[in-house]
Amino acid sequence: MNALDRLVFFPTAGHLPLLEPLMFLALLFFLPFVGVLIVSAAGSLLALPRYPGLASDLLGTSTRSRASWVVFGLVPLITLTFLFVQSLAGATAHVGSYLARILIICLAAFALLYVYQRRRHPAAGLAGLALLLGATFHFVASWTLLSYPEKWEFIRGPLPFLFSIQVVINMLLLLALGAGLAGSAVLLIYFQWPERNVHTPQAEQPLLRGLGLGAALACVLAAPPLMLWKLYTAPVQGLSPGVYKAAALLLLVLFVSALLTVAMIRGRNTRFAWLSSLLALAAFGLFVHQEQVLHANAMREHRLVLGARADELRRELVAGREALYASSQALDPEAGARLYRERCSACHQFDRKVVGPAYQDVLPKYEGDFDGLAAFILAPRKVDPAYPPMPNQGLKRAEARAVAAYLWKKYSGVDPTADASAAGGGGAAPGAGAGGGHEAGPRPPGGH
Amino acid sequence: MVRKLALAALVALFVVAAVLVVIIAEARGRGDLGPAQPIAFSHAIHAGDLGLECTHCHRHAAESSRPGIPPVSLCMECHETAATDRPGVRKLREYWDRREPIEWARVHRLPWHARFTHARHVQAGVACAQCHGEVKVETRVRQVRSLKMGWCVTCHRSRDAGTDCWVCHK
Repeated sequence: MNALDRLVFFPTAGHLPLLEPLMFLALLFFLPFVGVLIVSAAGSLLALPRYPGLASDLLGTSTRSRASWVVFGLVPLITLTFLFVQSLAGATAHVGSYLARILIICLAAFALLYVYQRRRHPAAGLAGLALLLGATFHFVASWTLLSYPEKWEFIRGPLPFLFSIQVVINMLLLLALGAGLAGSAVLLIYFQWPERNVHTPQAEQPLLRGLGLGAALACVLAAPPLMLWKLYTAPVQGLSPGVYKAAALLLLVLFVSALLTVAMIRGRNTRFAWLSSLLALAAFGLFVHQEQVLHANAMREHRLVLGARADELRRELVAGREALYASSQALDPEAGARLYRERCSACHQFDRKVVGPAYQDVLPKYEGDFDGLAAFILAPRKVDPAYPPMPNQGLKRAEARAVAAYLWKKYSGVDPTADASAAGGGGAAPGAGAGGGHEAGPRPPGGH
Repeated sequence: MVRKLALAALVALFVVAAVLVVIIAEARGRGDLGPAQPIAFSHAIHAGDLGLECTHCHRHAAESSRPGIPPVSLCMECHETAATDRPGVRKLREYWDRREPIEWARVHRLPWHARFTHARHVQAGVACAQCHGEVKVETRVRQVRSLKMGWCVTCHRSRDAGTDCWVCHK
């Protein structure tokens, strides 16, 4: 069930800091898109019976092109699923399979809302909105759970955490900021962006402007109390000056937005729509940043543990790799003789020249250089112009060393691996000691 | 007039919110890396790198309500000869020479009406890290669990321990 969680490779201490900006970026794509989509879909469904044209326009605020569903919806959600699973690696709470289900529900919601946008089918719209609201609520629960490491060991997933105060506040904040961004976007797209070439019937324009301004005003009125409530109930382990700074900046941004919105309402115009939209986006950025700072502070200990586990895992892997290398270097006494018979004897004999030179003529130059002999057998090169070049036999390093050992023993009567066995113990190969490299292997005796 | 009042109310809302942010910051604290200690003792080195058991230094944890803060003499058992060139150990030596105890800053504090005994928890097999976090990776210990009633009760329930009021409250 939690296959995704089991696939996680513990992130190293160097990898963990990379998760933060990635998560911030993905959230900055996903949350504003979903917030605007929920608000605009709700507005669209309300407007549908009396203003069908307006209903379609409203939903198109965030989904004017097909690519936006993928770029702002699916891709960030898939990325976030992996990032959350990585962040919670090793914890009892599993979010991987939970987020995978959210992803499927989101996909269904997007499909239904897409159908609604094209066909104006209210049932599809309602079902899509309900699914999207539910999926977003569960996503926010998973996101918020990151700030509560002390709860991880008592719950298997975010479900029991669903209706905790912090999740509800984060969800309401998301909807409030989504309303602000949707309202500003409506004013921008339909009144201040002639290049977008969006024509709205004259009769619907006051209503559209009223909706946009109303949503923006609702955001700036609802967000400050929610943000204060969030600060008041945030986990102590997550608090830091950065959390309060983000809150203060968010208040400032909302205050300027409020003044702009009031100015537009009083002037019955939409002249600050651009600035208002940018501020609404900035508010989303600060909301995400504040939550990320909370996570980073609360998860500090967990990340240290993850880094330590990754180091431990890496040490195990390195030890395993060295053991594997050592075993691959182990010389099989039978293999040397067998390989000699199969690959070498057709061209080489000890006492006479066949195709290649006799061993007794060429082996003396390798006295004291067992590694050199093994290296030549592994990758032969032309040496004497009187002979054809020796073809590469495609041996593995251990096989080449086994052949070299067999040849040398037969030539000199001395086993070049004897010292290695004595030093390394248990029949370890030359060069299979701590260093692992074949350069560290013993030299044949008597060569100095 | 109504418009001016509405604008004034809006401004007042944000001013009050800003003041409340400051009040909440003062009341709840701004978070930190744990209290500063007279000597920069590293649990990461002692419990992590060296692998010392918690009870090696906190010797009464398994049989008393309090875990026991190690006396300077216990530190000097090793640091008479170990790592004597480190600034922290030199400071420790000064305490030892002055025959003065180290006044460590308290990290974990429970409300007065909660009765907690280390012995009961250690004997029940609760790992130290359950409440104190993985101090073996921390260079400076801080409180990483809320130590609030909801958290205690959740753990008691998960282990089938008592949840009657008198179990924890005086």
